[in-house]
Amino acid sequence: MARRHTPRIPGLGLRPGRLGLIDILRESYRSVFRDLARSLLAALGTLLGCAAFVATLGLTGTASHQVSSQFDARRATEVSVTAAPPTDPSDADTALAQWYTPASVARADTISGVLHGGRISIASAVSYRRLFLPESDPVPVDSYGVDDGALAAIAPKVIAGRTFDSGHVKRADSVVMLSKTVADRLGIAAPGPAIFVGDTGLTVIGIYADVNREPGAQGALLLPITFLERSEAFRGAQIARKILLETAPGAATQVGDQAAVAVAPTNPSSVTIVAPPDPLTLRQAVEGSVTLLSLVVSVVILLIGAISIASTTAVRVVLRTPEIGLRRALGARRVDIFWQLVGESAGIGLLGGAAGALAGTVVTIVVSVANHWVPIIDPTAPLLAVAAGIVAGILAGIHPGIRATKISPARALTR
Amino acid sequence: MAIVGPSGSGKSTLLNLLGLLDVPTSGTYSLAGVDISSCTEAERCSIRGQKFGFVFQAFHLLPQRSVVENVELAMVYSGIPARDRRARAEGSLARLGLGHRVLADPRDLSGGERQRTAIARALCLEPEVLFCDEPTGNLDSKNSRAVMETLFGLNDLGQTLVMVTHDMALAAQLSRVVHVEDGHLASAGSPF
Repeated sequence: MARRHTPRIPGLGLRPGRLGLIDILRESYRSVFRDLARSLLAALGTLLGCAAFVATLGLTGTASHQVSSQFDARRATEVSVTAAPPTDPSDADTALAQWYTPASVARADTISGVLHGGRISIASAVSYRRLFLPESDPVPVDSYGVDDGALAAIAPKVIAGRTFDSGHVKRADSVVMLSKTVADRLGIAAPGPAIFVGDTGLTVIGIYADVNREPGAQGALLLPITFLERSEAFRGAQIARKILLETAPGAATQVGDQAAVAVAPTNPSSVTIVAPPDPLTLRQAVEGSVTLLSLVVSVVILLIGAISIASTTAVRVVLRTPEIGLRRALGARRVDIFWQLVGESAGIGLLGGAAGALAGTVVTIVVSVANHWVPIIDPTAPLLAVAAGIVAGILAGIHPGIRATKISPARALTR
Repeated sequence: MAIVGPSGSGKSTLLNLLGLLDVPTSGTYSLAGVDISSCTEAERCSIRGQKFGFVFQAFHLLPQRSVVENVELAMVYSGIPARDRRARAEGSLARLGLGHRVLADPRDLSGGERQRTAIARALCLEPEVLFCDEPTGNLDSKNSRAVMETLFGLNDLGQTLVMVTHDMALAAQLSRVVHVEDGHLASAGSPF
């Protein structure tokens, strides 16, 4: 396009003609940006495509970050150790005695990445009564016997009274913390009174509203594991046992790999480890599938945008036939007309891409703020959108550009 | 030179052939001893842009561009450096009495001013031949007179004019008149 052509006719003193890149850009700029409203209309398809591209990528990134940060905070930092189904049922108690011990927990605590660890014994549907009266209605409640390590991992949010501590656990004190749900069912508004399992009383020392882990404890009660395991009151109840480990973010997978050996070194197969999937892998999988989908959608919209530019440019070629004739009369070669139209089409693509990138960014921010999320916008997405707009514009300008070169200047000037 | 003849006789076609806006389907057109049919498209473009100027009945000024930018357009395709274009365009406009309208929108000009802008555009490269196709066809009588005075003034200064017109009174003021009828030269010579 910028190549000089030197006329070979002698005696006419012709200068080599030249339409440089700067001239093409200047002419394209004047044609596109001096008639901004019409150009924006022509760029509408590209604008929508690029906006969809940036917004989908931005919202995907933002939502994934949101999901993964919640995931990290709760599920991704939790490893459970439970009994594996025994090959011989008579061995179950022996195995339990080996892995369900304070020493096992102490060994698990030494694994790098473990923040808290403890034992949990869950007695299902134990009947509690508010008063020591046989005729009062019993309330069936799951009872979580926990040690101080498990209590720290569960982290109940106390709204009245206090939690029990390692002293209570050591002494097997008959104290209990009620979830708000259970407290309401038993008609207890504040710590102080006792509740009864059979004829065994427990003093309510705290009421909690929420838990960080063990969602089952949300509608249950917590008491020292030593009391639950030793008291006659729970003797007939079905008890499930597990060791709960709270890990540092990102350490759960590695902790899960080492937990079996740490907890049951002589017989690691006697336990089952439940660790969450690697959050990074999960996030990448989620992001990957959503991003692919959004990219496909955006490319389709961009294609529609390119077709819209092509059709608008084709219409502009028809409307601007006299101008093309004038330019030809002023010395423009066919190739000059072609490059100018491609340049204009690229300018419209640039306009659509830039406006679309801006719109997509605004949409991402507005949606994020409305949902109280932190907007995550990859800076390459708007740049990619602008580049895609330009490429779409260039491709869209080729066919109308070729058509424009075929316009006869003499005929064009009579229109 | 004036090219006259009835409507549809081929006046504009002859002007387009002479101005290299069209190529003849038969016959030869020699320019400076060179058969134009042997020239490449790029060479014909260079001759059009640098040796010829064109003034059309419809002005063909681009909207969304100032008067001076319209004049500058003539130099875009002729190898004139961008830094020289503005001064040459302003000089050409001043010569046509439009020095005060350089930044005006062409749509705000009178018909006469528009045509004088088109003439300034055609003249800024000092063409050897100025082709005018019915230059007063869209103007009222007052503006027509002003434009023709401009063109005749240029002619008096040595500018070669080739003008298509159906106005015999105008044609009579030029040194040579060519009559075209049914695509053929009916007569050619001095109007006197």
